[in-house]
Amino acid sequence: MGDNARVASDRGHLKVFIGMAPGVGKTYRMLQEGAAEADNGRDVVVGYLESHGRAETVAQAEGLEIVPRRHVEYRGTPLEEMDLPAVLARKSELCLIDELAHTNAPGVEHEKRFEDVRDVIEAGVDVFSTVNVQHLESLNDQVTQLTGSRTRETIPDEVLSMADEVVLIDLTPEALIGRLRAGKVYPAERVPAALNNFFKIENLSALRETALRQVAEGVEVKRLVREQAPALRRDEEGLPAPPKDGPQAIAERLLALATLAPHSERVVRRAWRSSDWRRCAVSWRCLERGCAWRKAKMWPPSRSASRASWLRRMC
Amino acid sequence: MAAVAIGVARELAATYVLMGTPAPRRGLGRLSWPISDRSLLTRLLRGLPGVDVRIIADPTLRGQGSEAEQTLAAEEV
Repeated sequence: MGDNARVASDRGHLKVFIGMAPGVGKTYRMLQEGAAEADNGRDVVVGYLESHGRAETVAQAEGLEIVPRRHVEYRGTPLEEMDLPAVLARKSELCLIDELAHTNAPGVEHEKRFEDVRDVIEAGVDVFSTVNVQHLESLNDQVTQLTGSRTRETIPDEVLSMADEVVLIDLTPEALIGRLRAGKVYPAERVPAALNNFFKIENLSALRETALRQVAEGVEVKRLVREQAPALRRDEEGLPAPPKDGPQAIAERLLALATLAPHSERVVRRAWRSSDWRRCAVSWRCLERGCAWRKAKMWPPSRSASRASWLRRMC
Repeated sequence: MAAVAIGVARELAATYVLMGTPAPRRGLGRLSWPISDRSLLTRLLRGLPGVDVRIIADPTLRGQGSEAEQTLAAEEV
């Protein structure tokens, strides 16, 4: 076995439970699956649990070992964070770490929890974690536009890409609002404000569609990457040959061929609009002198901040 | 150029390729432009079966006559 293969096998696996909004049941499902793993004889601990006082969640965590939180103080305010050194020292087989997008209090090892998670995975421990779709950096603008409220805590999309499994926890907007009204998401005093702001049917419908698309796109990319990698054959001219029995793209994939000439901006703009309209991935290749195609950037189908700013410059 | 574009499109499993209007050819090549056997467009179509290829035109040229019509008009003047 080569060094790379050995390192890859020593690394833990990451499974992320993603949802459209708080209260859909991501943490509950993570605990449920964690408990099932423990029942099957695996050494499971909870590295960090944010129950938000939800009785169902607290009940689901019963029986699982919880690593005590670390107490830190920031500007005189006592805060609680995951105790990364304790989690690493515990060296369980599987660790459940809630709220992947959380920003840590200053003074601990890392600024963001996903960096803590990376350390745990690199120590060979499998991790289950949770995140809401609006925390993905590339979707932040889109979600802000849809819901009118900006999410401050974000994670780079690469974090989700590094997950070995992504599980969508889906709930209809009506069912989620029903849970909210029943006091299963927030305490009773916070329900009216939540219903008037974030938890509107139109917001939740848009977020649900975004979450479904995000996971579908991830599945599509992984399917193509996993199945196509060994079959990158070359034809008689030395070009990558089209897959014969290999996977065929289900979603549209646009490729815009541009040059550095000013009129090529039209091609880029049109490709952007087409990808937006078709809600599909777009890649750009730019022809430079000497016929070398330069990879400009490949974006997910969503509107990302980097894409928007780049296109603004282009337009 | 076509070979590289075909390679990239295959590698990315593109289903749709967008490109600008091919530059007009000079000399005898003008007679067969843009759909000669060796044009970029033809080679893309041949090299990427099942893939849509779309040429993005310059909308400011709408309403103007074809290149041949423009040549004729110039000769008449």
